[in-house]
Amino acid sequence: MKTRSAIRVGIMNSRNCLHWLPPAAVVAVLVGCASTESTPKTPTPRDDFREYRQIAVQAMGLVDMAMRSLDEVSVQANRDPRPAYAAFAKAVHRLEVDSIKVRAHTQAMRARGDAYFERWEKYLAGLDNEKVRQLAEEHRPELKQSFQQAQTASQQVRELFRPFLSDLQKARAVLEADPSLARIDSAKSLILAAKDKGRQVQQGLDHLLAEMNSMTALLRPPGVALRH
Amino acid sequence: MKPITKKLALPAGLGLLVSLGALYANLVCAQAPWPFAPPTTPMAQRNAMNLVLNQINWFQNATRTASSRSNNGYGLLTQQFQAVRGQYAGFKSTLNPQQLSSGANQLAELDAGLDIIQEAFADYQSGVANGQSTYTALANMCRVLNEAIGVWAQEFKQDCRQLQVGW
Repeated sequence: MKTRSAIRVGIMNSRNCLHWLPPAAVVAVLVGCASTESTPKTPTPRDDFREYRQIAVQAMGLVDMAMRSLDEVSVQANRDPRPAYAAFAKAVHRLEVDSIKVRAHTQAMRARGDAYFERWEKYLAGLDNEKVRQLAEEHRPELKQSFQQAQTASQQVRELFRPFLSDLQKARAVLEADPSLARIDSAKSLILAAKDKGRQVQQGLDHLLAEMNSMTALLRPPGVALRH
Repeated sequence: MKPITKKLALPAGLGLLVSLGALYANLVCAQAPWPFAPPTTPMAQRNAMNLVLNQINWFQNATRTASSRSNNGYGLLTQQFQAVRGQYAGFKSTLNPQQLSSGANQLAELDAGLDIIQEAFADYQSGVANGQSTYTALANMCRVLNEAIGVWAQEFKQDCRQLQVGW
């Protein structure tokens, strides 16, 4: 009997507790929905241009290294080309991985078109440096033109890069098993084709960097050196 | 004995249901229009970002073991890479309009980055077609994929910071 009473009291208490649970849940819904957690914040702008310039310079270094290492394979062919081949294989691998950033940038520029430039303009318009802001406004048409030239150069690099890399990968595969004079000789047309394409990629990167230097010069206040 | 458990069960069950509904609504957020759109709350963004990073870890693990799996290695890597793409697509759907607008260039670069990394699979096929052994071609592909996705992940994290994802 006592047990039954205790159970009954327990049930009554819990029922009392349960009475407020549904309204509390409703309040929780309202509070949750009214929360400011979803209020959007202003993201930090990014200097697309400066970043792109840095990775373009890096890409030039990678292509130069791959070309030099391929030259060295030919130079060392009549002695012991194996160390030169190992360096070449390493350079190709670095190019495969480290060129992804510049390739992604060029592809994004192409995909976004003028919107890419407009985004960068917004960044410039929001700078604290009043002189740079004024220069950006003053030289808007020249900046736009330079950007379009840079876009064209980027497109050239993008189109040439894939065949260049492909030739390098083929040369690596051919020489992998036996980096000997005979094998290097048999791959000579492939090596020459790779070098030819590499020179075109280097040319494209040179044009790209030249346009970026023009844009930097347009935005540099007289007598002030920009930080890099 | 009276069916007290039956009497107790109904309000308890109702309360539990409503509480779960409250928790779910909190996660969903009141601004989600009908029909249901993915949530863009900071918590949803953090979760989505972590899902991407976790998937990348699994993918990198797969690149380390794929060479030992002979025929299944390539298929496994393809599957894991598509899973990364899927998680990334899910992450983008949690971004709010302001983030999508101000981060448009970054997102385009991340999209392009994944497209370029995917080229490694085509390079593998070309390598094998050109006479390279499948083992060597797979080993090369694994090295490239492992490092490349690591570079991509660094860019992804940097962009998430700049776009204040999950803040």
